[in-house]
Parts: sequence; structure tokens; C-alpha cells
Amino acid sequence: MALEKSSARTVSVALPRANVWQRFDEWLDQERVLGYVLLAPALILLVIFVAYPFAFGLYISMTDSRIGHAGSFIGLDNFQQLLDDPTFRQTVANSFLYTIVTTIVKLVAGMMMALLLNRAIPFKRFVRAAVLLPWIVPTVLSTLAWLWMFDSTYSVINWLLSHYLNFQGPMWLADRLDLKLGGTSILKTTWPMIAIMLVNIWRGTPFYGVSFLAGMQTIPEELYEAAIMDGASAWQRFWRITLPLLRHVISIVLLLSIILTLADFQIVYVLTRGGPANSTHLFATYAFQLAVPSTDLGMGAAVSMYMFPALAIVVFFTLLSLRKED
Amino acid sequence: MHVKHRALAARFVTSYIPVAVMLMLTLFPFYWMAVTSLKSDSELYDLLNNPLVVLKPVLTQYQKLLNDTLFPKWITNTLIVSVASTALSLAFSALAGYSLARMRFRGATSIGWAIFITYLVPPTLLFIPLLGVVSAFGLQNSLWSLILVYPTFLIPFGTWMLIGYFKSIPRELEESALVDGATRLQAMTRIVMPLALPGLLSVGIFAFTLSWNEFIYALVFLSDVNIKTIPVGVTSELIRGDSFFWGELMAGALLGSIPVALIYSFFVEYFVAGLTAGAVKG
Amino acid sequence: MEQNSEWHSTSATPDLPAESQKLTRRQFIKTGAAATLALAAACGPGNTPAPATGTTASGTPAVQRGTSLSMLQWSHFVPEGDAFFDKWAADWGKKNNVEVKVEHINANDIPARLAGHVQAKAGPDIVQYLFNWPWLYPDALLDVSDIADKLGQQLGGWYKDIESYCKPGGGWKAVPFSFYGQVLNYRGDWFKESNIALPKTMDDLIEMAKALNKAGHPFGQALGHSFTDPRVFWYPWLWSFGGKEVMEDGKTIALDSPETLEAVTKAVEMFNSMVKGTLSWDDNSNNRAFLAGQLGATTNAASIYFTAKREKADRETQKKSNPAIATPADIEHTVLPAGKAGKFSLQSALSNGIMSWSKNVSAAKDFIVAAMQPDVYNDYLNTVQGYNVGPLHAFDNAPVWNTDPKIKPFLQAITEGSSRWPGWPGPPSAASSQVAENYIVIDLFAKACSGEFTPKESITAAATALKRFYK
Repeated sequence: MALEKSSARTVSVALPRANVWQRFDEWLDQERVLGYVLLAPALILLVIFVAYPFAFGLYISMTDSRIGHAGSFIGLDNFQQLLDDPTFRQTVANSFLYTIVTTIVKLVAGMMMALLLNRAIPFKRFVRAAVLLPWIVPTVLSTLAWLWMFDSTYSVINWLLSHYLNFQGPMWLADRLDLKLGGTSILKTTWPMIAIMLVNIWRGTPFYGVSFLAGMQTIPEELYEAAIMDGASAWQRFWRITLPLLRHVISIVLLLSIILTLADFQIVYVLTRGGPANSTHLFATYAFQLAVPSTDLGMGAAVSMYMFPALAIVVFFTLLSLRKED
Repeated sequence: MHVKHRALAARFVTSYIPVAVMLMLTLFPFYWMAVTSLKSDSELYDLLNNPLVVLKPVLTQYQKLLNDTLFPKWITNTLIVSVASTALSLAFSALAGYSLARMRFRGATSIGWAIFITYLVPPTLLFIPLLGVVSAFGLQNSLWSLILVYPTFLIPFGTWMLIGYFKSIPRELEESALVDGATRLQAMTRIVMPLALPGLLSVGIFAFTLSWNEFIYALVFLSDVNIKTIPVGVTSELIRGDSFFWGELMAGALLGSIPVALIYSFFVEYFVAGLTAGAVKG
Repeated sequence: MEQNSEWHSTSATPDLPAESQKLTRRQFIKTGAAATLALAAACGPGNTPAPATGTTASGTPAVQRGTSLSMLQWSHFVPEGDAFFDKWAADWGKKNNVEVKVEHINANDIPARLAGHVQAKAGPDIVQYLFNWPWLYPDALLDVSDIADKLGQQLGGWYKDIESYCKPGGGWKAVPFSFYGQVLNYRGDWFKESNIALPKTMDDLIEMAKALNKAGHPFGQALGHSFTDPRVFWYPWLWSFGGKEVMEDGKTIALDSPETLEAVTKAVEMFNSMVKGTLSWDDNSNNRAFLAGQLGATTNAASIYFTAKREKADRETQKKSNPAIATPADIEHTVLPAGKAGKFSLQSALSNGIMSWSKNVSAAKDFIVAAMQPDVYNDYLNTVQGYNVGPLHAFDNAPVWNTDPKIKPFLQAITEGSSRWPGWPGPPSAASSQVAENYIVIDLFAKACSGEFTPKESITAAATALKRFYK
């Protein structure tokens, strides 16, 4: 910013040279000018590094491009073909299951974590920093640790299960799961799906917890005191005071988290690469699988594009709930 | 006395035990990393051992990591990239956020939306066309590629969080400064930015974490082993197809986490305070 | 470089006197250095190879020494192999005044890097390809028929299957570098103890798996998404029973057949006697399980045996307290048996391709050729102790094969000529390579073994998936 120069200018108004500066400053001081000027750096960077590649991506999703071959325009063929692709349909189902289940668990677990952290607990500072660890460690590295914990030969989780509970653990990254209740199956999924969700929950909960904690700390103590006077139970206080006042924070956290979860890549890439037999692909990993190792750039781009409407719906509803409050 | 005991017991049940359980669940993987990294290969792969304890702790895995790989260099690279891209994004988001929060001009709302929507563009889609852009600028295989590309996912959320934060700062403060003859820019840098410091700090920490974490761009843009970042360096050097070096991998994972962990242990209070302050009213 | 100066087909400009050539070269070094500096200043740490060389009118890069040469290859499963290669490459570079940089990355990450480089038309000069990857990027590869043909003549000719990987559309687009033989690794001590016979047919393999399971030392075979172990077993398994994905024309899908059904049904039968968890196994799972004494047998290259030898002393001590631990003495190898439809295998293959954007083509060619010269290559084979196998017949008698009788089967796997390529009996093609990259044949077995589908359903699903590629 040319701030120092401009403040010097105000003193020496009479000089003609300064006059130019003054005129420039006055011009710049208009909201319709300064507004754009301040936006420019961010916009230029985003146009170069997002808008252009994105437009390119949109274009190739409508071509039969392969890596190293500029293909020809085929309209919505790729999108059409994907609808008939069983793996893609599974990918969509997986992505939603993954996002919905992990979001709900993270929301509940995060709330519990925040309520705990908000109490008078010993070593508060240490505990707060410690619970954040899963979230701040590079995902690839922590997921490698989980890969090692899920290993078919050396799984420490299964060792604990068999050693202390005398229970034979599943093959975390391979087995199918058919949960039955009185002979009818109520849930058909795979342990690998559960494994990737577990890692996501482990990693994501601290972010929820700490954000909710931040929100809780801004709630005035008097509200609770008054409620206690009125004889409200702890449950009622949580339901009537904490939760409504956290609504805004919750929406923001959900928004940030859902976007990152639906587009998750690293956990699956490290743990299963989409296997066994394509049962754990998410949008991002299936797009990657098609576009990169299999070199079908257009098809991969089309998978990524399908992520958009899903995200748009989520964002729309979250923003709507924010808007309502304002 | 009886009452006191009961209070203590209640505290154990409602606070201490749940906290202990929570810490165990969150920290067990780290314990497991540490245990793995301190074992010799022969102890590590012997199925008869109790995996949770280290019989003969050795530092060979750490020695191998630090001497035989460029791990220290990767830490430096990751730090350079994370600090630079965070600083860049923070500056750009602060300017953009202020503009969108305070200025009235044509297209402001749609630009705000456009910036937010870029946050939805998944990196797995972008990395191929982006490599073209990066090499057109001659930045391939240079840390600059990451420093310039990471802001693409940092600026949108940063701008968006800071808009909220700026809006929570009373307008009157600036207006009185304007009345006193300050320009808009001065009002922004001298009055609003200092007040927004907690928000900037927590957006900065969030951005730093995301940069530290990034994998796919770093994998694709950088090829010189000297300039790799930790996640890419560790996975590409220590995973060798049919033999993972688990001891070294876990040592790398642990050491690679320490710098961020340190930052958080210092700033966690600010982070907590600033994270949602902009979003919470009052 | 004296010994193969004949390869300098394009590097010298014949009509210039030696002195002025030298000058030009020196100037080029200077320009190169200046450009590098400028670039480094602009880009910070690390820099792209300086585009110091000009281009001739025809658009082909002018070749100059004193520049740099970069190569991307996988991290060798035997780290000593990388150390040897890197040192040799650096020495070669010093001798030839070329700065050689060799980068090793996890093989499963190479496609991501390649995709980026090919799209951006920038990156390393030489890339190492696995299996039929050259078919996936033919336009990004320069024709290397000259050196491939010369090497073939010089060293007794190429093996046909590896040749087929490297010739997308007729000409050579990559020069084969090596096989790594895949054989049955088994525990000699346990086979003797429980009196288990070595399999003579694929059907015997099922009996072997059952017997091993009964003895408490099960068979294990990867069925996950990883680039070698799953492929090298399940493709030959399918062929051995007479199954195939496509007809000889490389277009007509032929998966849905009684032969395939038998292959899948028998696979499920064997799977039920295998160790648990193989659906998620990648290339390293069986190494670890075998070395820990959890497995009686698995198919693999020489890396299990190599690791055991490296840790020989430790393992022998450990064995006293834990008799399951595999020591080198316990490990035996044998080639996979034939099936009723014939003897088939799929041997992993590596090749080196020169990328179209390379500014230093003649150096790249010299480098590739120099690496294959017997004095270098035989030392390399010695270093990796049977992991790699020469792609040229001249290496059939390489000294390494006389060092240890236990590694002979890795060579035999190549020399017996049973190896085919993904998509056989169709010709190698982009389509069959994509089928392999999408693990369709692996998942054909995996989905039936996991119980998600019946063998019939699994075949129908795989046949449908094949349609996307063969059209």
C-alpha cells in the first residue's frame, strides 16, 4: 500500500506534484473504486488458478479426451454413460453415506467434546491442544498410521480385541458386513467403508469440538444462571440455550466440513485406493481413478462435475439457514 | 465430608473419566506411531510380541529417517510453503473480505458468491489443468508453484470467514476516523485490521494447517527430491511397492506433526477464540 | 562412453571443426548455467531443467551436451537397486558432462505424475513404465526404434512379451529395461513337515491351499487394487482355465464362457482356504505376512527372499523363540504350474521411454543404451540378486543366476516363455491396458470371492465393464 506517501500528502496540499497524489487518493477513496482495487489481488489469483482450470475441466468433461490426446466434443455423453456405470452409482451412494454418517457422528461427538472441554478440567490447555492433534497432523501421514492399525497381519486393533475381549476382529479393509436383526439384514455395507468413516471421524471431530467450544465461550454466563434460577435442568439448558445460540457456528462448521468431506480424497487413496473391488470409491477417488491411471480424462472430469450439484444443494441449505437468522 | 466425597465422585464420572476416554481415543494412533517408530524391524514384525510395548527401544528408525532421507529438508520446504501461502492468502483475503464487507459497489454480491463457489471446486479435478498453468509460468518443480496454488483453496474460505468478522466490528469506529480526515485505506489498516487480529490469526492457523496437509498438488507439481514436502516425501520415499518401511514411516509421521503441534500448543486459545468470533453475534 | 560411441548418431555436428564444437559446447554450458540461475532466481528453490538448447528449424530439439537429464522411476522394492542405479547414473553423467538426476517415487504414484507431465508437456526426460503403460501415452513418447533395434541385435534379441508392451502402433516407444520374475514362494520346511506336494497343475494349487490351511500355514494371494501382485496371479489363473476377456481380434468380448465360470468358481473354492483379508492386500501385504511366518505360500518376486537374506542373522536368532519366522533357509521358489488350457504367466515388466518434450534426446538415448550394457547391467543384476531379470536373451546366462540356486526359478519364469500380457489373446492395446488399470479382471475374482456376487453375476458385471473399453 502507498499509505506512508499518501499520509505525507495531506500536509503539503499546495505542491502541484502532491496534487496528482491527492487526486489519485480521492479517486481511490471512492467505494466503487477502492472496492475493486482491494478485491483485485484475490480475484486475479483465483481467475488464473481456479477459473481457467475449472473452465478447462468443464470443457474436457464434455469431450472424450484422454491423457495426451485432445479429444473431440461429445456433449453430455460422459455424464450419460456414468449413469449406467454400476461403479459410479456405487460411488455416489458411498459418497453420500460417507458424508452423512460422518457428519452426524462428528456433530454429536464434537458437541460432547466441546461440552467436556468447557468444564473445569485439569490441564485444560494441554487437553485442548491434545484433542486437536488428529486434525492438525497431515492426513496422509495419520492415515498411514491407520493403515498400519488396520493391517491384515499386524492390526493392533484386532490384537486388542482378541487379547482383552477374546473377540475375533474383522479384516478391516476387506470383509463385508451384513448386520442382521432377527434374520433380516438391516445394514449391508463393508468394513472398509466403516474403516474410512472411522478415520474421517477421528480426524474431523476435533475441528467440530473446538469450534463449538469457541461458540460456547461467547454465551453469557448470566443466561445459564437465570435458567438455573428458573429450575431448568442441565438438559433443558443445553437444549434451550446452548444449542440455539450455537446455531450459527454449527452451520458454518457444517458447511466447511461437508464440503471437505464430500470431496475427500486422501483417506481413501491411502487406505484402500477404492478397493476391494471398487467398493470404497468416493467422487474424488473415482474421478482420479478414471482420469489418471486409466487416462480417461473426460470421464474423470465428468465424475468430478457430478460433485457440484451435490455440494450446491448442501451449500444452498446451509446459507439459507444463515440468512434466516440475519 | 460425605458431600465432598460425593462431589468428587460425581466429578470423576462426569468429567475426568470422559476426558480420559476422549484423550485415549484421539491419542491412541499417536501412541501407536511412537511405539512403532521405536522398535527394531525384527521386533516390529514378530507376531509373538505384545505390540503395545517396546521391549528394546532403538532410535535406528529415526536415524535412518534423518540420515538416509532428506526429511529435514522436507520439513523446511513444507514450512516455507505453508508460511508463504498462508501469508499471501491472509493478505489477499483480508483485502477482499474488507472490500466485500464494507464497500458498496456494483457486482459486490455476485463477486462474493463467485469467490465462495471456487471453494467448491475439487482439487482432484483441477490438478491436471493446473499443471499446465503452472508450467506455462515456468513454475513447475518449484516451491513457488505451491505457494501460488494453495491460496486457491485458502482465499475463498479466508475471505468468507473474514467478511463475517469485519461485519462484527462496529462501523462507527471507522466512520469517526473518516470524519477525522482519514482515508478509507487508513481507516482499514489502522482501525479495522488491528481489531480483526484474532480473526486473522485463526484464519491464518486454519490456512496453515490446510497447507501443511496438502498432498495431491505437492505430489504432481514437484519432482526434485530436494523440494518435496513432508507428506509427499515420506510416502514416495518410504513406500516401496511391496515393502513399506513402517518404522521409518511412523517416525516420519510423528516428526512431521511436531511443528504444527507446537504452533497449536501456543495459539490454541487464540484459535478457539477467533475461529467463530466473527460468526457469533454479540 | 568410448565403448558405445556408435550411439552418438545425432550428437555431433560433423561440418564443424573440433575446436569450434568445443566452443559451442562451452557457450552452451554458460548459457545453460545463466538460464538456470535466472530461473532459479525467479522460482526459488529447485528448478526445471534449463531450456538452454535451441530448436532447429524442423522443430526437433538440437542436441547438446553439458545440459541436464532427468529420469523418473519407481522406488525399487530392493533399495540397494536404487542406490546402485543412482550412483551409476551420476558417474555416467560426470563422464559425459551431463547432469543426471534420477527421481524415485512409489510406483503407485507414477500415473498421477505422468498424467500431469503429459498434459503439461513438461517434466522428466525419461520415465520408467510398468507393464503396458506405453500403450496409454503413445503420443507423449518419442520413437526409440533405432536404439531398441540395435540393442536387440547386440544382445541376443528381446523377449516377445516385453517387446509387445513397448510397441504401441508398430514402432518402439520405450526400451525394455527389465522383468521381475513372479514365482510361487513357499516354506520348504512346512511343506516337508506336512508332506504337501508342489502343485503340478492349477487344480493342484487349490489342493495345496487346502492342505496348507489345514496345517495352519495358509496360502495368501493379493486381490486388491495394486499394480503387480494381484495381476500377475489372477490373469494367468483365468487363462489357465481357458478363460479370456477378449477374442484374438482384440475387440470381441469373450469373458462370458464356461471356462471363465470354472476359473471363478475354482477361485472362490481356493479363496475359502486362503488366509483372511487378501481382498485388501496390496503388493507389500504378502511380503510382510510371509516373513512373519503367517503364510505357507504366496506368489511374489524375489523381494521376500532378499529381505530374509538381509536380515538373516536377526531372523535366525528370532527363530529360536518364534519358530514361524521365515529364514532364508526356509524359503523356496518354484514357477507357477500349468492349467488345463496351457501354461501361462504374466511377468512384471519395466521399460524406459523418452518423453516428447525432452530437450536432450541424444543424451537420453545414450543413457538408456549405456544402462543396458553387460558390464553395467550384470552388476545391477548382482546387486538386486534375482529381483530383476534381463529382457534380452544375452542376460539369460548372467553371472547372478549362478550365485544362488534358490533364485533360479525367477529366471526360469521368464525363459520358459509362458508370459503373456493383459488382454491376451488379443493384441496389447490401449483398451486392454485400461482394463488392467481399472482392475476389471481382478475385481471379477474379488467380487465373487467376497460373496458380493455369485460367480455368474460377477462375470456378467465384468463383461459389462469391459464394454466401456472394447468398442
